Amino acid sequence: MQADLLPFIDWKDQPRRVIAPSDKIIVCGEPTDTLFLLETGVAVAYGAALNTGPTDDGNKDVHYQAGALLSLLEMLALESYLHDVCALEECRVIGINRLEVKTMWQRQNQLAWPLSCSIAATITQPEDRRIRL
Amino acid sequence: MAKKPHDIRLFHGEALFCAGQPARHFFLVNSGAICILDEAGTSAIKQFLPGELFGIPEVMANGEWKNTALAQGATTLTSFAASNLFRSLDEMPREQREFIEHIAQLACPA
Repeated sequence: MQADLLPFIDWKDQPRRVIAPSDKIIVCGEPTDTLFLLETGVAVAYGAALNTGPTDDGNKDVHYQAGALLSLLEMLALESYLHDVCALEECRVIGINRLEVKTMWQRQNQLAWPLSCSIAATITQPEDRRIRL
Repeated sequence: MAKKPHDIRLFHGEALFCAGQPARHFFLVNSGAICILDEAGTSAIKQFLPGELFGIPEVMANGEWKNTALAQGATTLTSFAASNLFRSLDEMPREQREFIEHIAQLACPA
């Protein structure tokens, strides 16, 4: 998902960091208290693709280009990230605190954030919540 | 005019909705749990616990439930009519509404 989907988030005064090729930008299991925007570079989340049903092409990796929001649905729905996101080349990323995102998100409408989180949770529900009857 | 939310009480194993029925309400689990079954009806592919909302993408798609939902244990829910959701979306700024519509399509592809 690209950052222009969320024009109400102001990135300009947020801290940047540079990630070396093959280093991790997000580590599986770390808390979702920061949302990352890939400002430059290319990154990949191995095995993170959604199953899109009959049209699913079987490719389970998600590739991110400049302007992408990294693991946005996981950040919205979960307390910790489910997948590593690795830099494929040198990347510059912007991190923004989850609470700041939430404040901007619901500035004009209080329902926008909980609705977004709820739908994201439907998409990202982990396998360990699936049970045999 | 939007309909008022109302509470639903289910016994263990009772169906909240069945695959193929129109999705006209979404739900908040208050106690117990709701299991969404796979197409064979043998496994729960999702589970919703107290405090969790579900059914929003299906209601936004104006479609049918693709799976059956059963209560796991005695379960209480609040049911919200689609009109409540559509009114809330209409009141949102365009960017937020479009984002929610976008991820709802990911959750419930046509």
